[in-house]
Amino acid sequence: MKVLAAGVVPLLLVLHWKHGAGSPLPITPVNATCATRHPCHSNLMNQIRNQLAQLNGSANALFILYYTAQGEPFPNNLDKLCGPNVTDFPPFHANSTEKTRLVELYRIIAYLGASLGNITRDQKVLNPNALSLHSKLNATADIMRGLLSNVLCRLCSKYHVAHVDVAYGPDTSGKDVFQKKKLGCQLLGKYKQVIAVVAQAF
Amino acid sequence: MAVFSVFQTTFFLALLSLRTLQSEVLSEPLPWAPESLKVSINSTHQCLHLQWSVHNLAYHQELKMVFQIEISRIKTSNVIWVENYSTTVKGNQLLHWSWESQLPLECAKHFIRMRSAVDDATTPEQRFWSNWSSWEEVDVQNSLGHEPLFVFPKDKLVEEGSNVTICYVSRSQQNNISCYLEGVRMQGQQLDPNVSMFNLHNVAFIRETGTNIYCKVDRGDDIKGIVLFVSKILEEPKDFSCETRDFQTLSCTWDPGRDTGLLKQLPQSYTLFESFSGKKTLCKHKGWCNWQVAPESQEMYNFTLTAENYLRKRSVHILFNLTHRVHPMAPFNVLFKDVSVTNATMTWKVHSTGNYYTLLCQVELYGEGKVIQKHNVSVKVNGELVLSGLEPDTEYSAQVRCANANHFWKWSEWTRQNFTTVEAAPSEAPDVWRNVKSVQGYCVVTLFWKPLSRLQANGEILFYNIVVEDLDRPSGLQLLSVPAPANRTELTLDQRAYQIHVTANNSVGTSPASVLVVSGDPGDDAFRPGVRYNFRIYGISTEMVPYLLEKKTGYSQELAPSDNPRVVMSNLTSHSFTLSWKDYSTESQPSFIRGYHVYLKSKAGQCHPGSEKAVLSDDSVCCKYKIDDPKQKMFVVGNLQPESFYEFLVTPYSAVGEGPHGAFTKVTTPDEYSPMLIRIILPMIFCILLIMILCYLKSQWMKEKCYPDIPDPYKSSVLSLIKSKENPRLTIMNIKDCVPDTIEVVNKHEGTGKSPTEPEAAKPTYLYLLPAEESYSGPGPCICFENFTYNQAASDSASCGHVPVPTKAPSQLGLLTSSENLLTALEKNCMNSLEEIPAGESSLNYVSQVASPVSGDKSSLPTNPPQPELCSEYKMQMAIPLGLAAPSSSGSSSLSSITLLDEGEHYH
Repeated sequence: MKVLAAGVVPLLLVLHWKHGAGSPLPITPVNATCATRHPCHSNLMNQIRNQLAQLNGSANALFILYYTAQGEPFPNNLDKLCGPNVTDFPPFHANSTEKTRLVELYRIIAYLGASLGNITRDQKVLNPNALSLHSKLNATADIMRGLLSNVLCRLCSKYHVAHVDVAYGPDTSGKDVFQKKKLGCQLLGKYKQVIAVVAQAF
Repeated sequence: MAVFSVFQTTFFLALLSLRTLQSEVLSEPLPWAPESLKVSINSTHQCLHLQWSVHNLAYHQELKMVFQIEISRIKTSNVIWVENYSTTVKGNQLLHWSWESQLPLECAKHFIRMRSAVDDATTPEQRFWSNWSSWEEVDVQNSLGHEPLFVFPKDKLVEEGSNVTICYVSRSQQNNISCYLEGVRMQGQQLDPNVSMFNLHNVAFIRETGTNIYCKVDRGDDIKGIVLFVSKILEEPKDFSCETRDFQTLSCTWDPGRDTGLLKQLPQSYTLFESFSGKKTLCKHKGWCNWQVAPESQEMYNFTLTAENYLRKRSVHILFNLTHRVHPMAPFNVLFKDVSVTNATMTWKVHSTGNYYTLLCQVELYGEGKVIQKHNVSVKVNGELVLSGLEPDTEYSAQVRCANANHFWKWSEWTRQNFTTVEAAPSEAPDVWRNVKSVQGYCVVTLFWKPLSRLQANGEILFYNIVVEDLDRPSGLQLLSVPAPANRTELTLDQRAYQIHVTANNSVGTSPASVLVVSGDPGDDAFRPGVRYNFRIYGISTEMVPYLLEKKTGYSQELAPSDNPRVVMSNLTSHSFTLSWKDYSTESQPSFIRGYHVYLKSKAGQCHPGSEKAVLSDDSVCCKYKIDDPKQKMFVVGNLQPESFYEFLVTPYSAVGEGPHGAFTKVTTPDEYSPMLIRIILPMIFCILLIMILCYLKSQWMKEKCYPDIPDPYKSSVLSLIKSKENPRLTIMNIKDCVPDTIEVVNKHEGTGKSPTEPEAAKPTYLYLLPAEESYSGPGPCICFENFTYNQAASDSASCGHVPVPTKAPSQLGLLTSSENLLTALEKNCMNSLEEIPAGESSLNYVSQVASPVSGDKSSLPTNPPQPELCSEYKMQMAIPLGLAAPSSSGSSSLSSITLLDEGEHYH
């Protein structure tokens, strides 16, 4: 329970504490009022681009660290165990409007953030000595939190979007250990693939 | 007929009703048969849980029963487990039983049934089995889902050394599936077309994070796997013990042993249970636990420590009396009172432990970092100890620790405190020296003293008191105080006798005085500068017997050396010379000689390594060699040039300075080659002279050896013998008349002594120089000659060797009777040689061209000696010393023949 509290729930609470954790959030009507708790940074899009570049730059290393820590057969069967087969992953359309892209980015980062929380929680138990992996997971989650905040700020300040429907990946807490490892690997494989496209789109 | 029909019908009806009744009775479950059997599974533990009740058991009834349980796998006929479960059953009680399957339950159907029997002495008539219950089927595969492949068991946790069965369930029979453990393919056993199992024996701990076991479809794109966690076997806690420090808390510690290597969620836990109080506590730490001591003064404790993890439990016990497990707290409030010069009273307190026991405290006193005293003290609450035998004004450190005096368990920690004893008056007079000088009619007295040692000072010396007492005027006292740490002072006194008292003072008192007398006459100071003084220092034993302590040598003032050593130069060569001054005495110098300087002047002015340039007082430049050892009184000056002029000076040096730079000694190095020539030519001249003298003295011998006279046949002494016979026919043959025709080479091989009948033994080789002469075979005149020169050579070598050994020396000698001298000569020169013919020796003889034809038959020679009348004689060459030849007295036909051989042995 402690682990759960340290993983997904705080993230959800931080992001949506005003509106209830985990409930799907509809996109706010354009004319609805949208208020942020803090004033947005003046060069917000630049920050978003930098954060995306930062994530894109470290995604492959995180992926490698992860599957190496899981042991055989993961490093030698990446296509079968770590392929980006994540069915309910939020879509992203690189050629759409900035607003759409930001909304889709928000959904993606929210999905990834929650999944990363699960992975971090699981890996602390399954690989307690893989400290560099833990560190990398935490650093990635930190950047994602900042990115999510910036995207929300941008949506709110420019497009008056205060609420975005988000979906989360499956909770791995009830899965067996091998399945946890596999799901984590698949998610990080997908993340590596998606973040490259997203970083390119902004 | 009708009656019969009715009867028949009635009989059948009755029979039918009886059968019905009977079947009803048989289908009715027996009392106390198992019923309501339910089976559930626990996939995590691979367990089947059975729950049932007993039929028709009264509420209050209690029976001892046995239940036989059968478990089949895949099909009912394949029974894999039969077990009798005995228990006491109460009315309406639900019974439970569990069974752990080695094979994961997901991999095969299981069937369970049971029956019961009463196993109670109160109802012996019921001791038979009930009917079997119907088979209960357990099939987990149906609930697995629709994925193509499953691997079981999930996340199984076992101890190392266990056996584990892995299985997979495939949804398609077409798939070829292979499974791997740590990358190594496992060999399995097929249970049914979709299920295979793998038995792992004696599994080993690999890592804390578990071992991935996975299966993959050969042509598929999916991998399914499990993680098997293998833990190390939980060890029994070691060194379990409990103790108290305050009678309120028991602190129990133990060594948990190695970590089991399980995941952090499944660590081992430790529980402490005390049987007398029945209390139990779960320990928060792996190696220690605290237990609250019961307020009701419980003395005995019986603890059970249980280590437990997911797979195993281990327990250890201890039983003890609380008062025997007391580890006292460290003493506190350590103080020192009544600290005097040599004593101090140490006090301390111990933590209250009620009235249970007495403490034994140990005190250690440290001085200068070492333990100098140890004391044991019994203490109830307050401890006190008088420390004595201390030194004044000395810092000490004392420490104390305590333990239970009645039942020693452990010492407390040390508590340490420092203290310093108080000062006392200095115990010794200062060691004072003086120096008296006469300056302008006054005596200037300088006093020196050594600081007192710590043991003598007994405190910090603050000042020195000097009392000057005029011995001529008893009332004249002069007092002077010199503050420490000065160690000298100067007094200017009249030239009268004074007595001076010097004392050292600290804050407590004054030391005994050191007294010395100054006579007022400066001549007292006998020590002169530049004079060497030798001291012998004696100690005086308690029996007042002096004994030598040390010898000391010194100068009141050193002066520079006044004389240079007398230097002897030797070994002068073109490149070096040696200087020595062995006679120089270092002990008779006005200072301690530390070494020597050798100055060398040369025209070149260059200094070689080992020397340095020095400029003398007359501004001349020279090379200076330094000798650091005063005992080294020899020096080789090297690297000189031949035929060069040098000047040298050897002077000693001391701490004060060096000797006078007097006159330099001059030296010129010789030519480089003359010594060498002298060394070679002189021995040569000597040798030549010696040879010449020898040659002169031995000229005659030399002449004989090197160039003897050639004998003249006309002057031979033999002629005189011949002439004496007055034989006019005999003449000396002229060498020109002799025409040599052959040379006979006689090879005398080994076995000279062989029988002459052996043909090869004496077969000569003939070299015919004049073939025309070969045909000559007739007898001829006997011609013989003698050549002394030739003979001499033959005599020296093997002149006798070619002659067969004469076995009858007397017959030979018989021919020589005419001349004693000749006989003697022959005996001397020939006989010895005959006896010493070396084997295999060969010789060369001349044979005249007028050789006897008889010689052709050589084989007959030994047996047929030549007849004398043939007169084909040859005179064998022989050695006859000059002057010894004598005419033969023999009347032989060969008048001039002289032979040493028997005729029979005379061969050519």
